[in-house]
Amino acid sequence: MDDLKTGFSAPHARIIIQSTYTELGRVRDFVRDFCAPFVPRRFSETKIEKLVIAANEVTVNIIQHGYSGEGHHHIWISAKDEGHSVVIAFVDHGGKPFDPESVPDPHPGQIGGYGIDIIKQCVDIAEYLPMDNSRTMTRLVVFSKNSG
Amino acid sequence: MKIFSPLQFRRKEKKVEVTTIIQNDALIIRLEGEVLDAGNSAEFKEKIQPLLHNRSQVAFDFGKVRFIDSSGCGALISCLRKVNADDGKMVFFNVNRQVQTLFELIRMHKIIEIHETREDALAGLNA
Repeated sequence: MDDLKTGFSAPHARIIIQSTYTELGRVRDFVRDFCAPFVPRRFSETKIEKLVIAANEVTVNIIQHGYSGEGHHHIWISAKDEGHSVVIAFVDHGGKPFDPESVPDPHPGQIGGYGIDIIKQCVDIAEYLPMDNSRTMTRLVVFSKNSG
Repeated sequence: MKIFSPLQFRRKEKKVEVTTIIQNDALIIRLEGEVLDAGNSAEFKEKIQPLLHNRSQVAFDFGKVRFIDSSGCGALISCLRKVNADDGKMVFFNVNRQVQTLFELIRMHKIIEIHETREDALAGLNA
């Protein structure tokens, strides 16, 4: 099944959320539920909980920076089991290119600015991919224990 | 493929509820909600900051909290700054594994003592 929103072509799970912080719990539940069958054989509980933390931070960043806090937009979130990895993809229409390397590393005690650093620490790969029609895809990848 | 629309899982706003206790001159703030995230961190700051006025010893009990994100941590750091500005001391206790993971990611333990029990926290405030 081809999915124009995410670029995925294999069966997967997907949710569509509104760009409001009240949706964060749904995002966390979605990632936890999708990954639950893979714990503990392929992923440790800690690795999946870190993926949940990263997914939460990506969603906050999209709402806050991609959509400037406006709550009437949508975010498409997909989860896919690639066998050797799990991929969570977020697509937004904020149209704001983002360079994670431009964000300075936070120092302990500052009030904000931790999101990107947390994402980097929590997943094996985090990618920000500009798409067509003002869309941006953010992909989080975690590798299975036996992926080599 | 499972597809869920925004209407199927509409959640209620997560209101911030806390219980406060005074013990040995210390203010203990127990968070009653399970989540402190971007959805309620502003309300948390608004509700907690007045409680901290002129308090020299403050301990946060995280026993019921299951998830905190970076926005929640930012709200807690704001509280810490206020207490420090009044020459006070603030500590955390009763932190579960998931919350501890987030605290480690942002190196919270470098700026605040994290204790296992209330007794340890009270001792830490007087150390």
